[in-house]
Amino acid sequence: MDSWIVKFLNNGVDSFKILDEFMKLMMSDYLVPVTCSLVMLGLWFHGPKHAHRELNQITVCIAAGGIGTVNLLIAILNAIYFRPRPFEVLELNLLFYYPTDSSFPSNFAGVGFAVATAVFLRHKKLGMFLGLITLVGAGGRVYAGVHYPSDILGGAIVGATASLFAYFVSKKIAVILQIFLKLARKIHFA
Amino acid sequence: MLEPFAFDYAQMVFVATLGVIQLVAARNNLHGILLLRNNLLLTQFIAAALIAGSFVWFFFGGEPRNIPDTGPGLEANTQTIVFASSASLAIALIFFVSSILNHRWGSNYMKISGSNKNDNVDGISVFQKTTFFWATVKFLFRL
Repeated sequence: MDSWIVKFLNNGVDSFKILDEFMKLMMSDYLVPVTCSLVMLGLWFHGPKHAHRELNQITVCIAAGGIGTVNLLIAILNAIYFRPRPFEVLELNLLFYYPTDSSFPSNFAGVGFAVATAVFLRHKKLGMFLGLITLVGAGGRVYAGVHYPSDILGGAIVGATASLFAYFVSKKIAVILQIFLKLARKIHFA
Repeated sequence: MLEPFAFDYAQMVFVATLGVIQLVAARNNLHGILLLRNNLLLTQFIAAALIAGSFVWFFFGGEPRNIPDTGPGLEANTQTIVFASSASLAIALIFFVSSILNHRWGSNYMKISGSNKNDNVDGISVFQKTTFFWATVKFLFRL
């Protein structure tokens, strides 16, 4: 099923030039990560009042914790299980460079969904926007032949779980977070 | 020394960060870190243009961007370091330049609050009333 979906979608490569260019942009290593990072940066400063801003800053801390956790989980999973990329085992039109790491789970989806989940917990629309661009980018990677759909699903689950874990940890270490933010506030960085 | 690709990435992040900070500052009345304090609408327009422009320049500037992260591209850790450095530099520049541009306006806050130790406005909220320079001066007074 996984291979069938990749082959089916990959058949479209080179048929629609505009779609190819759009997918190249969306699945780039830079567009979604930079957008997520800029949203986090904006959230750090955003808030009409101090109390709102502090909640946003805690959201950024959760997202950062989620990114750290998802990277750790993916490193562990990669050490246990290596899955070859679709273009290595199927005959496909590759629209991307040749990645050498394990196909499962998708790093791109993992990090994107980790940030989207953390942001979604406080800002529903913004979180959905980040989730949507991650989903389109991840879909682009299936279209391009560098991921199976199950890699994306795995990455999304690992990413969302990592951020939920970071959210619960943030509740447990709320006092430490408050101290950190209070110190940063003293020098006007929070 | 940064590779050409990393340098392009750093420039894109730098300009986009300028835009994001100015946009958020304008929307939250953080006048002390605005570069165009008297025109919030124009600031928001320019900020949005800076963000969009930096993305368009980086992704549609003619250089290939889907390149291996093990080769000339940036792998995740390097990308994080370059992003953090470039964004920090942009924020530092905003704090510095806005402190100069809004120096006289920001000094009013010092005249009003002076060395009043009970004036507990701190953190980013202080930029609704003064600049980074004057906020730091006040912080040093309170020590």
